[in-house]
Amino acid sequence: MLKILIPTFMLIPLTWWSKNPWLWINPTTHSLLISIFSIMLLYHNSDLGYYYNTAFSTDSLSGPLLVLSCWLLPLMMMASQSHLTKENSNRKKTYLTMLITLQLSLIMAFSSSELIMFYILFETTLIPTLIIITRWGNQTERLNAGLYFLFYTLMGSLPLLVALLFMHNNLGSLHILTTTMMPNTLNFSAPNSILWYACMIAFMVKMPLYGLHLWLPKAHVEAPIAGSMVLAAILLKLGGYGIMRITIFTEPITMHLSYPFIILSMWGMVMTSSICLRQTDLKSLIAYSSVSHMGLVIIAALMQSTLSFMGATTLMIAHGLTSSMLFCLANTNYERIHSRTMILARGLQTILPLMFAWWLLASLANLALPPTINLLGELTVIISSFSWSNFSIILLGLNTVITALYSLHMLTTSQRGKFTHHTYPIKPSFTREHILMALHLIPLLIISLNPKIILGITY
Amino acid sequence: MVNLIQAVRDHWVHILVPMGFFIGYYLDKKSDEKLTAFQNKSVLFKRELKPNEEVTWK
Amino acid sequence: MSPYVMLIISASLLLGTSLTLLSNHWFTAWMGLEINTLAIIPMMTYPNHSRAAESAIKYFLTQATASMIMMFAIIYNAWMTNQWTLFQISNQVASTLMTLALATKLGLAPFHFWVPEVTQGIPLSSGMILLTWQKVAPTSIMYQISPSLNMKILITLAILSTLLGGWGGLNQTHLRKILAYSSIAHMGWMVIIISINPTMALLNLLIYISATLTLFLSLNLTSTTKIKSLANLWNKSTPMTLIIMLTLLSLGGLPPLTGFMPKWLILQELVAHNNITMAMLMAFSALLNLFFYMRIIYTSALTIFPSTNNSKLQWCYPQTKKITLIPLLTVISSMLLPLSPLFITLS
Repeated sequence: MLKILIPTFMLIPLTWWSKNPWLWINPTTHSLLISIFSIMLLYHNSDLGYYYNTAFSTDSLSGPLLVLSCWLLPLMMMASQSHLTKENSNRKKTYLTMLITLQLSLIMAFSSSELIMFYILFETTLIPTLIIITRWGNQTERLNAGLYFLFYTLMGSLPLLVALLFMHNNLGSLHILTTTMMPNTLNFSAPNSILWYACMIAFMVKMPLYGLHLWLPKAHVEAPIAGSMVLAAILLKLGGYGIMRITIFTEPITMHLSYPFIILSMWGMVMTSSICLRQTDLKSLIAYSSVSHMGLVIIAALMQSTLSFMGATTLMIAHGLTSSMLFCLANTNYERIHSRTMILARGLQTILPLMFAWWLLASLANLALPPTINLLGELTVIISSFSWSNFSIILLGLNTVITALYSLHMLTTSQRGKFTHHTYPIKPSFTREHILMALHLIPLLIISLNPKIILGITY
Repeated sequence: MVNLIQAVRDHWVHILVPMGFFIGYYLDKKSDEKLTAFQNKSVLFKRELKPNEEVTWK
Repeated sequence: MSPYVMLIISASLLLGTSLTLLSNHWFTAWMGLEINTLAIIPMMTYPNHSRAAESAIKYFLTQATASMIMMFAIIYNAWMTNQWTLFQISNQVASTLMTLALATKLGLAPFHFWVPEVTQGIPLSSGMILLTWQKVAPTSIMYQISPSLNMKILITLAILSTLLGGWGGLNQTHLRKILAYSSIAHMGWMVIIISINPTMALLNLLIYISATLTLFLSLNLTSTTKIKSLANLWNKSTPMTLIIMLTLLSLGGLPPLTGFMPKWLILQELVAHNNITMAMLMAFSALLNLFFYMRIIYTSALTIFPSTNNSKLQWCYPQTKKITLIPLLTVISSMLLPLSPLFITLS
């Protein structure tokens, strides 16, 4: 793992010692190099994963997520170039350093093979994200959003810490490798149920489960583009990843206790996608659509079947790229119109026709059309939950329809129609932005040629 | 010659990330060797020993 | 203050604590505490104004009361057990009284009311000594008698301290008061663990002291006493905003900063002794502290307040105060978490 971590760390001195004209190019190209190199993490020759040393390991669940987070760093840098032009170079460098620090902690979080270490790094991601949101956000509400973000996550994760310490006492180890080979010791009783809730709630907040999701739209709306991207693409996936990791420890109880959560997230998916239908705020719409998609991941991760785990992993990767792309598109609008309100950005198709193509493709990916991997993920989750309970198809099917509806709503409101006068003098779209969109979309399409690399541990 | 020195002074930062990669690669390889030392006891997983290399576990 | 007087005062401050640390006899330990109390009073009142005098008197009264209770406990113990050796207090009454006296000295809730009042009235430098160095001597006595302390009283003190320390600070805008409340909360964390694992309590104290020192030194550098005036910090010294942010987050116990280490290890000990409810309560009460630290962080580091053009030039005036200790202390108070395996094996 050090061969990814040390170069990522080296990006910090690279950023600070780069001369001003090279400030964006240097870290972007080098992080792109790192991300290309990280593709080797997808190769696994053993089911147990690869143990670099006692602290770090990757397996076919964390591998794709690691590659995704490495891939997102150059994209985040590309996306934030424009809104930082007015800052001085030291602040730009601090911003880049925050992104890189976040990246470091994410890589370590996904690759740590001990759960306490995972917890520590899970929390570590809070500080750089908080700084990115509250220091570089635009409106004053960002301060509130930062507090919500921090305290929701901490309130959720403190029970997790105590639960982990408790399990450490009982099991003697929280190493992933040793515990997969241990017999299950938890029986179904009241104290153990509390233990299960304590383990789950942190990840439920992070995912977020419907009802615990209030921090997410706030944070997304107020964050600068890189913050929104990393939040949607990777930080939410820490929750899904955590659930899939920790259910190994709580094996037989999950079966009994997961019902309310599964039902709640099914209901929540329908609710949040309905909320999307009446959103006027573009970023908020994308944020709620993230909540809705993450609901699918919660269902899949809690259902504990082979097929559903495959669906959850695939959906996490697919949603990571799609929602990040949508946020980038929203940001290109925001940088031109200076408003997140969709109705103010209508009719952009006639002015920026090529951008419209990206909008169309992103919306299609968001509603899971073939040949994207979104389809693979959603279909796998829906199939597995259908075999879990036939009635689930009602809510899931309804949700699919509403997803298509709000994607269409977003596309038509922001792109079609007659454009307004204040959109006359806007800048044309840059090559940088087209590259950004292409780099989001290409993985979505080419992974579907060989989806087994992101199908996770149960494939 | 002067141009070369100037180019080095302008662009020496590019060495940092590859350097980090090689350091990381080396450290990873060392810890791999440490972790897999006992694999050579197993017939199934053992690797070819280098010429004049003795047993890996000590 | 003339250097000679300063020398005498600081020497006796040192003497008091070291006397307590080294003593084997209850009387000398008590004497050390007394010397300590008396030595800091001139320091508190040095730029002489009424608030400082008020603080000094408040401090003197509470400390004298605590000392008297302590003396009473010592004498009672000597009467019952016939010995003056500083060792476990086997007598229940004496041990309870001693706990209460030490709680007053440390500023544990419900004996905490003097801490914010006193800290608010005195200058930053003596506030720094009050909240760090003055905790060492009482803690050392508590460490030595830790096996004989009453667990129920300790738990009550600890929970009240962490809760009230968090609660009280929520409504404050003065930095010294905020730090005083944070000290109360941290003393609570120390006391909860002192009878289970005394070394962990010392570790907590050490890390609390290093973080508080960093904060006080950096506030002293810019002579800031209110959250409001911290908003101008980015003009005076930009790196200081980062230092204050990291130290505060570390005090709040956010991983991966040093402050998480004592909290983590203390929670681990509590859970290992099947005290899970306690662990949860303590963990959640730390969030209260974090909330008001966040307010300071928002004002000092994460937002840029508008300022006049004159104040934008402040960075180019030469610094008169030295920052000798701040870098080292910042590193200690924010980056030691990777060393925690060392501290686990230490005890």
